[in-house]
Order: sequence, then structure tokens, then C-alpha cells
Amino acid sequence: MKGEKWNYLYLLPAILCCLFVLIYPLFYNLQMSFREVTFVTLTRGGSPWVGLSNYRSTVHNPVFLRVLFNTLVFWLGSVTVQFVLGFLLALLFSKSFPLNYFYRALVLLPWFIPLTVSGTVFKWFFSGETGLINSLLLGMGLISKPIPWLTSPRLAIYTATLANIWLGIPFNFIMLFTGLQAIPIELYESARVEGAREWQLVRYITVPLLKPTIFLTLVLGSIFTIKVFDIVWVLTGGGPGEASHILTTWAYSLAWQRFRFGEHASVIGVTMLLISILGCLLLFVRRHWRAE
Amino acid sequence: MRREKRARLIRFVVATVFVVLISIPLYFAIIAGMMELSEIARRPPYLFPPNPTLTYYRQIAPLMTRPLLNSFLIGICIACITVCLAPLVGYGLAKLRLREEVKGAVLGLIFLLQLLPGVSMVTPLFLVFYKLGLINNLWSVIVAIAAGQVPFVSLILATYMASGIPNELIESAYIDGASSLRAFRSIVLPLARPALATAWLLSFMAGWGDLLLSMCFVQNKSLYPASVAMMAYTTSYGTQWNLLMAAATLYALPPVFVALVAGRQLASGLLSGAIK
Amino acid sequence: MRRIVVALILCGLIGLIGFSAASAKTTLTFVSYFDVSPEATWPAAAAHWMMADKFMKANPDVEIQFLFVTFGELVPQVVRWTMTGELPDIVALDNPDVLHAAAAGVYYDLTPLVQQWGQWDDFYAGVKHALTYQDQIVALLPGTNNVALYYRKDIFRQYGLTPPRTWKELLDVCALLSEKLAGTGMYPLGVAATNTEELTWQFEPFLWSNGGSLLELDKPEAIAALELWVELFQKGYVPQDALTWGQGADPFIGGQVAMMINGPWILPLVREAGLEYGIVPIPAPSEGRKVVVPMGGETLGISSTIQADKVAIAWKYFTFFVEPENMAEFCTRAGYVPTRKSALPLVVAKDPELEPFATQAVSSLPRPPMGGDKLYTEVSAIARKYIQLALAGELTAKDAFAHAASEIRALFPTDQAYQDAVAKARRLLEEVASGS
Repeated sequence: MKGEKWNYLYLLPAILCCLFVLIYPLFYNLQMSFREVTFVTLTRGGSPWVGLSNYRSTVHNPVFLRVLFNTLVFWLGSVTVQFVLGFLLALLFSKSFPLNYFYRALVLLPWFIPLTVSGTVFKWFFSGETGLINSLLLGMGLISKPIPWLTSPRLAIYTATLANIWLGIPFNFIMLFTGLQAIPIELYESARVEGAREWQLVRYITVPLLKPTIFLTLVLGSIFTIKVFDIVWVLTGGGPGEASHILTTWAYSLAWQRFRFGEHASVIGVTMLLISILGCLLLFVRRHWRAE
Repeated sequence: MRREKRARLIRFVVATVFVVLISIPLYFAIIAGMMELSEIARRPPYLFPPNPTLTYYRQIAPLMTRPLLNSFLIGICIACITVCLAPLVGYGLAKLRLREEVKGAVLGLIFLLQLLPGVSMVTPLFLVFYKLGLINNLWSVIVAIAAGQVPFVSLILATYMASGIPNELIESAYIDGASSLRAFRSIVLPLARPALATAWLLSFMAGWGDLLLSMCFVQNKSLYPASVAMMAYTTSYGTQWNLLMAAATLYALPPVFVALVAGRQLASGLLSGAIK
Repeated sequence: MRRIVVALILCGLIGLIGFSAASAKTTLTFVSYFDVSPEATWPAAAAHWMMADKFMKANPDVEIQFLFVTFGELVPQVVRWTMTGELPDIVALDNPDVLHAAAAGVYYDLTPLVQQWGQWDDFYAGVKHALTYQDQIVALLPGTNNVALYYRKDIFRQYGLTPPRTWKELLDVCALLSEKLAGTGMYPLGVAATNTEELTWQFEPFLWSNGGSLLELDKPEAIAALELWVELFQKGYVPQDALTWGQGADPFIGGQVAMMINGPWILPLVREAGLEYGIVPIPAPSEGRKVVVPMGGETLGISSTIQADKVAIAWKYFTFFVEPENMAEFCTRAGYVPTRKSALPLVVAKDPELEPFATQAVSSLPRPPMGGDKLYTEVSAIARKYIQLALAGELTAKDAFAHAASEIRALFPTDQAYQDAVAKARRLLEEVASGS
């Protein structure tokens, strides 16, 4: 084919973009994780090289396991429920009904509302006796005492996960809905003609054809969830008493509350490692899919 | 026919319930903009404003016009840049016969880009843009965000193109003597419209929703987008909730319209008779 | 294709907008975490504008351009600016951050200017400590704040109560209010116990007034202070929600609490809410003991990267700002209290309700030297982590502070460094707490 070598140029924009916003920040963070960086050396330079010492402190930190646990809970809880809800919504919206267009834009609301605002509103919802959720549950007689959503060191992370689910629905919805548009209508029609029922259509046509999109949504969704910072920070600040820190909030507190920049960078490094492992695992799963 | 109508009605009710549930936080933001601070602070919270007033909305609206315009410009520029560049990459990854190793490497690079949390990127990017002399110019924000969006959106487009655009169409175009570029323009792009609409919306929102980069890269208050301008109403000593929520409501509404427009492109196949 | 054209046009537009018009005036850039503008509504922001406006009217060839960064991002952004070597001309950092900023080379040395000026000794002792780094004066403090006890006069009148002056009286009043207010949804007392510096800052008055130190939390004085707070939480005098509260006025003006520990910055909001309120100093551990509070307030500093010919005009602004009359005007507008003796009577005359804060400010202490200087932010983070755990009922006060104390001790590289820091904190406390 003529000019096949030029076809590599199509990939150039992505390569350039990645190099521009990736290489320097990645390098910057990685090298910072191998140095002992204090406030003064951060600005004036001259941070000494300490090898893996920061990573060692991070791993030996008594809070580390808790942070990992919290991150895991946050990730699994968010991604699974967000995905299911987004998928159901995508299926629902792919059929016509009145106000379909309008509602489709409203479903994206969690995206549009600034995080400071939605974080605060959720804080109001989850507050003590008089927060909306506790009032409802008490009023309906489902509980007898108000639930300490945000003030219990044990519960706080689950509450943050709940709020994050709300935040993540638009992304899942729009990815899966877009993916649904790629499936030719004729497939459904011919299957219907042969007498297939709705759920069979979903199981045997939609899901298999949607697999690449599902895979992408889960992977990207997971990556974004692990990188989430704002909602947890606004809701709990990592508290009470560091009980609800996830990797990102812990990293931030190490940097700007304790001024331990090297350790901060090492936690970021651990986060990146985690995401990479996740990505590899999912790629492995995908190859298994492909083989089917 | 009646069964069909009933099914539509059921879907409508379910969708309405869901939309109402998901909008609850916005509802509270809207009414908070209509209350006094002491009313907002009352517990249990008011479900309706006891003495609704538009004073705060009226106070905020003129102050938010320029910032909202800035947000728009940022969002649109990022979206346009991304939608110009990302489809090329998506096409290359999904449809072109390139060496698997190269594709794998690019995918790996894109994946690598997703690893860094945004918070960690501000300082290094600030230093880079300072060297480029772009600090205090909205361009720094646009380029930084667009550069982050292009790879990410390429993935989405590639996934869509891989499954949604039959290879046979492209093959037949090649047989007819078309170049890859021609195939791209006349076959792939039109068929990828839903994904392009999504891509546009995602990149627009990336720009619209940005707070950190705009605040740190730009030091001219007239250039601040709405996300930053809103933060004037919250300080370490407390927050003026009514002003903040009023500003937030004004800030949340334009994206709804953008989403409606993008939504038209997204499911243009939907209303053309066929029901999936 | 059309898209590209549209994009290019927009690009051009933005390129235009990006350039600010060159002016013949001398421009001073001023960064703070208040959004200062003519339309500013937050009292401190409006007060800053008022001062700048007054100065600019008196000096028409000067323009002060305000930059805004949110509270959480100001220190990181100052770090970034320092790394590029181009800071805004005037930097208004929160006073505990001055130490780190000075060490990082953010500030222009003001010492010769201050000495020439000759008004340094009019400032309170604690203030002078806060603004000095390694014998250099690096910034000025135009206004300060601290916390006192707000209470609802109408409720106190209803139950025949007088505002508490000691810890015992506080507990008694709370017990009575708890009983009387049961079922109304109102709690006796509110504090800011969220997981930020706000918690340490609200706890410090109790800690320091009792002779305790952040560096010796396992001593009885410190534990007693924590036990007071734990009792307040466990007996339900303070709602558990306070673990998520900051220092906003909301719980008080919303009627959730009958008393609240808060600062003068909420005074304008409290007045606007139309409540019947009173303000008294923080309750002391016992009758006659002095209340020692931490020092709040944003500083004014000239950055080290300022152009040499602008230093004079920046300093002129500073001296203008802290002139007693101007300071008094700034404080009453912003809800702050003065930092120098000659401004004190002016402020109290203008706004008598600021009196408790103003008096407490005379003996207020800067926080970093009380907690290991550079290590203060970490000390504070550890302290409040364990305070929260104790308040949430996870640990007893004694255990919590035992853990905290050992973790804090471990922060110091040598035992000598630790002992030095402890001695320094004790010295400062004595300097201020002696006398009544």
C-alpha cells in the first residue's frame, strides 16, 4: 500500500502529548521519591539521594496497611457499583421514552457540580442526627440511633465510597452508552424476529459485543478511582485520626501537612505501582477474553 | 402497540426516579443560594427555603459572567484541539495496519500517562510552562489539559472504532484506491460520530471542571475561570454558603446545555425509527 | 475543517486576553488566600481592599494588583514560585508558615527598614517572635485573631446562667444546658474538631493555659486538657459531628449549639444572623489563671524576588497598613484584633465586642516555636490525630497522648534537639503566662 510508513504519523499526536505532560512530571516525582526532600531543599535544591529509604519508611509506617485497605475498599466498592449502575442506565437510555434526551444530560450532573459543592452537600447529608440520611432512616424506623457516617473511624471510608459512587456514575454511563451505539441495530432486530427475549438480547448480543468497551470502562474507571482525591479530602480529610486516608489523601497530607516531600513522592510511586499491577492484571484477563 | 406504550412509560418512570435521585445534591445547592446563612446552618436542614430570596443569585451573576466566559473558552479550545487530534490516533491504533509492537508501545505510553494523579503534576508542569513563558496566559491551561486529554480520548475512540466500524468498509475503500487519509475522512469519521461527541464532551468537561491548573498557572484575576472564581466565597475561616452555592449552580448549568447538544450527536441513530 | 478554523479564532482571542495592558503606574502584586476585590464580601477580603484603596488614592502612581490562591494551595504555590524565582511582590502567608517560607528564601529581609522605622517595640512580644527568623525580621502582622467563647445570651438568661470562666464552670453550665435543651436538637457547646490545624489551634488555649506543651503531651497538664475535651464529647455536651466541623459560624448561627469556641472573624456573620450573643474569654483551668492562646492572622511580607526599585513603595504600604489608626480600621472591618499596644484602645473603642479577643491577643503565642519550630506542622498533625481518636472514643486520653508523645519525640533527630525545643516552648509560655 502506498505511503504505509506515513501511517505511523497518525500516532504522533498521542506520542507528543504523552511526552510533553508525562515524561517530566513522572521523572520529577520518581526522582523526588528517591531523595530526602524538605521544605528548604525543595525550593533551594540540594536534596540528598537516599535510595529506597522513603519507600521503606512508607511501607513500615503503621498507617500504611490501613491506607491500602481503605484504597482497596474505595476502589472495589466504587467501581463495581458505579459500573453496574452505569450499565443499567445505559441500557435504559438506549431505548426511547419521553424526555430521553433531556434526562441523558441530567444523568451527567455529578460531573457538572463542582467537587467542593457536592462534597459539602454530601457532608450535610451524612452529618450526625440531623443530616438528611439519618433523619430519613430514623423517620422510617430503619435505625434507632443516628449512624456516625463521617465521625466513626471505621465507617468513614465506606461513606466516602458511597459519595464516590454518585460521582462516578456519569463516566460509566457515558462510556457504556457510547459503546452501545456501536452495536448495529440489525443484530437485535434479526434476533427479535427469531423470538429472543430482552434479557437474552442483552446476554448474547450486547455484552459480548460490548466487551472491549466494558474492559476499557473498568480499567479507566479503576485508574480514575484510585487517583481520586477531592471527595475524600472534603468529606473526611482522611480522618477521624487518619482512619479514612486513601493513598492520594495520605500522600497529600505527607507533603503539605508534614512537609515530607520525599515520602509523599514514594506514596505516589506506590500508587503508580498499584495502578500498573491493576492494569497488567486486567490485560491478562482481557487476553483470556479474546481467546474465547 | 399498547405494550410498547406501557414499556415506554415504565422506562420513563424509572428514568425519572433515577434522575431525581441523582439531582438531589444540585437541588440543595440551588435552594442554599436562596437562603440566609443562618437558615442554611439550621439543623435539621430546611427542605425548602423558608424565605426564598434571589438577592444572592443577583449578587453573584454579574461577578460570574467573565469567569464563566473564561471557562467556556478553555473548555471549547480543549475540546476542539482534542477532537482534531485524538481521532487520528484512534484510527491509527484501531484500523491501520501498523506493527503490533509500535501500537503496544503507544498504548503503554498512554497507559503510563494515566498513572499520575493530577495533584502531582501541577508543580512539574508549572516549572515547564514557566520556562516556556506561558504562565499568566490561559494557553498554558489549555495546552496542559489538552495534552492530557488527547491520549486518554484516543483510547476511547480506538475502542469504538475497533468494534463499531466494520473493517470491510475500509478494505473496500482501499481496493478502490483510496489513501488511508481518505478512508479516514470519508468512512471512519462519519461513522465515529457518537464517539466523537462523547470525546468532545469529555474534553470540554476536563477543561470546564479544572480548578488546580487554572489557579496555579494563571495569575491574572480577569482570566480566572468560574471554578476558581467560585472559591472566593470559601476561606479557611468559614464559607459564605449562599454565595458559593449560587455560584456553583450558575457554574453547573452551562454543561447541561453542552451535554444536550453533544447528546444529539451521540445518539443520532436513536430516533431514526429503530428501537434497539 | 470548520472546527479547526473556529479553534484558531478562539486561540487568537485567548492570546489577546492573556496579555495585560502595560501601565505607567508602579504595580505591586499581592497574593493571599482572600479574593480581594472591590466586590469582595468576605470581611477580611473587603478590609484588605479598603486598605489598598485608601493607599492607592493617596498614592495615585501605585497600583496594587491582587492575586488569589485558595488557602490549601497558597503554600504549595509559594513554593512553586520560589522554584521559578519569580514571586509576587507581596506575600501574605498565615503566620505559622512564615518560618518555613523564611527558611526557603521567600522573604526580603526587613530588619534594616524596621530598625529605621523605630516602631517595632510597640508590637506584642509573641508577635515579634512570630515574625523573626534567625534574628531577621521577615514580615509584619497587621492583624491577629484567636478564639474565645461565644454564648447565646437569650438562652443563658432563660435558664439563669452566667458565662463560665473556669473549666469546672464550663462543665457545670454544659451539664445544665444538656438537661434543659434535651430534645430541642441544640447542644451546649460546639468546637472545631476536624482533622486539620483548626483542631490543634482550638485545643491549644486549653493546653497552654494549663501549662501543658505539645512536646510533652504525656505530662499530666496536657492529659488533663484532653480529658476535659473527652468529657465534653462523651457526655454529649459537644455533638460527635464536631469531628467534621471547621471554624465556620454555621453551628452557632444555625442554632445547633448554645456556646461555641470561635474567633472574631465570625462576628459580622453572627451580627447579621440577628442572634442575642455574648463573648467571653476562653475558660481558664481554674480561677485566676491566665489564658494563653495561639496567634492567628496573616502576615505581610515582601518577597525576595521583588525588583529593587519597588521595595520602598512596598514598605511604604506596610507602614501605612500598620499605623495604629489604619490597623484599627482594618481590624474592625475584618474581624481581627490589633498586634500593637497603641492600636488596642482604638480598636476596643471602635468595637467593644472585640475586647475579649484583643486582650487575649496581648499574651498570644506563635505556634511553631511552641512545637519544635520547623517540626510544628508534623507535631500538630500527630497531636490532632490522637486527639480525634480520643474524642471518637477509640482511645483513652492517657493512652492517646502517650502514643502521641512518643511519636513526637521520635521526630527529633537527637535527644538534645528535643530537649532544646521543649525548653524553648517552656520559656515562651512562662514569658507570656506570668503576670495576670
